[in-house]
Amino acid sequence: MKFLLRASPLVLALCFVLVAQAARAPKSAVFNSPHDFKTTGEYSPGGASYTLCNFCHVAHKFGSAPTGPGYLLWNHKLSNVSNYGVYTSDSMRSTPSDLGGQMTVSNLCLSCHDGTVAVNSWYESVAGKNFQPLPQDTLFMAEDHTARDLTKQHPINFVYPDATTAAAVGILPAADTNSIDGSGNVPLFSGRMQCATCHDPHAGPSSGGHLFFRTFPSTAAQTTTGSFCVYCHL
Amino acid sequence: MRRAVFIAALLLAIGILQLLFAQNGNKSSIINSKHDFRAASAAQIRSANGQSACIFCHTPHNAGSSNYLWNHRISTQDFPVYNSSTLQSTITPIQPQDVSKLCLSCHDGTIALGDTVNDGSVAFAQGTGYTLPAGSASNLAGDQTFANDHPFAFAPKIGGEVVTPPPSDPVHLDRSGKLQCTSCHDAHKEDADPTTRKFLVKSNQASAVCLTCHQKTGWAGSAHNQPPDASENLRYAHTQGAHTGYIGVRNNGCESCHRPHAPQVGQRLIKQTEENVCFQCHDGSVVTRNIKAEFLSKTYKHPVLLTPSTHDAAESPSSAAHTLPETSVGQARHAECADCHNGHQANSTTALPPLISGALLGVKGQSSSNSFLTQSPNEYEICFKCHGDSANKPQSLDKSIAGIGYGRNPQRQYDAGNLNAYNTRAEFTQGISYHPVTRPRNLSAGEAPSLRSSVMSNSGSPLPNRPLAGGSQIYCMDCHNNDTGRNLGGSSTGTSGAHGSNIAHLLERANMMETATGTPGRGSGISYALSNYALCDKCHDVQNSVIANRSFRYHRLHIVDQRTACSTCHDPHASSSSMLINFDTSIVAPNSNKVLSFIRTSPGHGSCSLTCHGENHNNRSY
Repeated sequence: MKFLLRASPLVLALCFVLVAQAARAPKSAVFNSPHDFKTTGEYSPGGASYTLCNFCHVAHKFGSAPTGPGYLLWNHKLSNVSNYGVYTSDSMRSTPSDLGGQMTVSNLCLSCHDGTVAVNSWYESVAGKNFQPLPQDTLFMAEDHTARDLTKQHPINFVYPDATTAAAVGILPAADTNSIDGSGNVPLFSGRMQCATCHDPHAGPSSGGHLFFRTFPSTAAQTTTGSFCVYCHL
Repeated sequence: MRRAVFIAALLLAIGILQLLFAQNGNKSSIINSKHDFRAASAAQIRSANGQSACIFCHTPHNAGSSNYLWNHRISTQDFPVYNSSTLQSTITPIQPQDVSKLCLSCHDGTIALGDTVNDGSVAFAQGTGYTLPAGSASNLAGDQTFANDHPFAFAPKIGGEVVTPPPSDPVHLDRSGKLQCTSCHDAHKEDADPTTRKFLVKSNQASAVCLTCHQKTGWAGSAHNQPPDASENLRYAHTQGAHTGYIGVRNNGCESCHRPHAPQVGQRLIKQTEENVCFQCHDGSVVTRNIKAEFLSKTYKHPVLLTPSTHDAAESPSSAAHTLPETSVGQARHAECADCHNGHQANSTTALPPLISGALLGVKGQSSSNSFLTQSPNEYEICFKCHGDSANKPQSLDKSIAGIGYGRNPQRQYDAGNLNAYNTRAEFTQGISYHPVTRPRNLSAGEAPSLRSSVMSNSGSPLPNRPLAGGSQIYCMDCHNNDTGRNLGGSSTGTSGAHGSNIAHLLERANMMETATGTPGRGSGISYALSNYALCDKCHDVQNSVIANRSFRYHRLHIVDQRTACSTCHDPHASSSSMLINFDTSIVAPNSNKVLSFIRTSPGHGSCSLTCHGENHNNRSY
C-alpha cells in the first residue's frame, strides 16, 4: 500500500498541470460531489481519509490487470458488456462505433454507468482510514444513473463531422480534433465525441449540479433556449 | 496575439456558417415559434414554468424512443389510414420506428403536451395534462382518422406523376425511402414559408413543396398554374376559400383545390365536395364567366349539381368498382366537372374540330372504335364516354324528372347500325349518312347546296376559323352548347360549353320539333319563322337555300306551308338512309300500303312512301 502514498502527490501534480492548460473545473471540484466516494454518501461507507482519487485512478498498474491497460490509470473494473448498441437517425451523417469491448474515455464512465459492475469494484482495493480494504462488488448504481442501451442516448464514440458535413446538418463545426471550441472546454478525443465532451466527472456541485456539465462557452442561443444543446445544435 | 487572431477568425467562420444554417432550419429558430413551450415563449400554447425549449421533445439520455432522443411520451393509439381509388402506393399503419410517430405524440391529440419521459409531467399554461383539442387544426386525429390527411409513414411508389425529391431539396424521404411528417415539415423552423408558415421545409408558394414529388402532366401549361387573366387570378383570396395565406390561384397552386390535412373529401384530399371545389372560383366570384349559374338557372343541363354523384377518378373499363362506360343497366348516371375537365391540364388554347380545345385537355374518353382513352385527343370521345356504349342509357327522358331530362326524344325509323337507340358513338361511326363529327364530310358541295362556306354566328357573321370546306368536321358542341354563351359568336360573352341551355337537348340555338301527335301521320306543325330553325341555319342557309328548294324541291311546301320541322324527316346525328333522312315515327307513319321509306335516286331526286300531316305518300317521287 505504500506506493499509493507515494503516488498520490504525482497524480495531484498531473491534475494541476491539466488545470493550468485549460479553463476547466479543477479536479478538486470533485469534493462533495456525487463522485466523491471519500465523503459519506450513496456509494461510500465514508471515512476514507486520503484515497479520493483512487476510487477511479491508481498511480501504478501491474501485469495484465483486469481493469485493462493503463488508460487514465483507471482503477475501476471495466464492464464486460460487448454490445451497447449505437444511436442512429435519419439526419445524422456520422456513424458511431459500438463501445462494447473498447477502451475509450467513455468506457471508463460506463464501468459504473452501464449498471453492470458494482461501483465499489476496484483493481487495487481502496482502503478506509483503518487501512482495511473497503468491501468490493456490492454497491450497484441506481438505475436512474445508468445508460445501458446506447441507442437511446445521445450518440458518442463517433468522429465529429467535418466542417462541410457539419454545415449541411446544422452542427457547429469543431475548431480542431481536440475540442469543438478550440480551447478544450468542449473536448473531443481523437476527434471523437465522448461522454466527457459534455460532462466533466470532476466538476462538482458548483458546475452544473449533479449532472457534471462542462461549462460551455456562452452563446446567445443557449441563453434564449435555456439549453446547452444549442451550443452545437445550431 | 496569434491566439486572438485565431479566435477572431474562428468567430467569423462560425458567423458565416450560422448564416448558411439559417436557411436550413436552425435549431434555435424554434424560439417563439408554436413549438417553443418555454414559459417565456411568445407561443399561445406553452408551459407554465418550462425553462428549456429542447426538453419537451428531446433528452440526451435514456430517451423514450431512440428516434431523435425522444423525450415526449409516445401515443399508442392507431387510426385508420389514407386510402383512395387511384392510390398506387401501399399505406400501412404507422410503425414505432417511423419518425412521424414522434410528431403524433402531440399531434394525434391523445398525449398531453407536457408529458415527458425524463422530465415528468410539465404543467402548461392551458392546464396540467393539456392535449390538443379535437377541433384544433393541429390535431390530425381530432376526427379519429388519418384518412383525410396526406398519407405518411409509407414508401411512396415512384413512377408516373410521382418522383423522388432531388437529393439537395429540403423536401426529402427518410433513409428507408418513406415519406414522413419531416418530409414536408421542419419542427424547428416555423417560417421557411413566411406566408403559410406551418413549419414547412421550404416555401410552398405556387405549391413548390407539393410539386417536388407530384409532377402532374400538363400542370406547367394549365390555366390554374398560369392564369390567363391576372386580375381574375388575384381575386382568389381567403374569402373565396384560399387557406394558405397566398393570394391568387397560381400562388395557392395545388391547395386551390386540395388540402393536405383535413380536407372535406379524404380521397385525393379535395378541399370541398365535387363541383363545389370548382365553384370556389367558377361561380362568378373569381372568374367572371359564371359556370355555376348555368347549372342553377338553365332548364337543360348536365346533372352536375345532383349530389352525391358516383363519379370517381379511377373510372375505366378495367375498374371493377367504377366501370366506365357503364356495363350495368341500373347504374346511376352522373356528370361532374371532372368528367369533362382536368383541372391539372385545362387551359385556354383553341382548336379546330374534331380536336379538343384546351378546356378539355387530359380527359378520359371512348374512341370512335370503342376503346378507352386516358387522354382524349378529340372532343367527341369525351361525349362518347357517357353517350356511347354506356349500358345505363337512357335515363330521365323528361325534364320533369329531377330537372335533368332533355326534352322530347324523337322516335326514329332507324337506329343507325345501332343495338342501343341512344348510342351516339354507333350512330356517328356506322350511319350511312352522318353529320361529320367522327368522320369528315362525304357529300360534295353540290349535293348539299344549303351548306354555308363558314359556320355563322347567331348575328349572321362568319365565326372565325370555321370554314365548312370539303373534309371539314364539326364538334358535338357545335349543336349542343350554351344558348347564351360566347360560342354563339357576335356580342355574346357568357361561358361556352355544354353545361346548360334553356333549349331542349341542350342545344345552343332553337331547333323546333313538332309535338308528338297522339296518332302518327296526322302532324302537329310549327309555324315557320327562321328563328325556329336557327340551329340548322348555323351551317345550312335555311332562308336562301332550303326553303328556296335548292336541294329538295318540296322543302318550302313542307316547311313553310305544312309547318314541318327539320327533325320530323332528318336525324341530326346520322341515319341508315341517305341525306340523314330518318323519320320521326312520333309524327310520320307508314302509308296506306304500310310502307315507310325514302329512296334517293340521284342528287335532288328520290321518292317517299309515308303518311304525314294527313297526306298519304305512295312512292311519291320528285
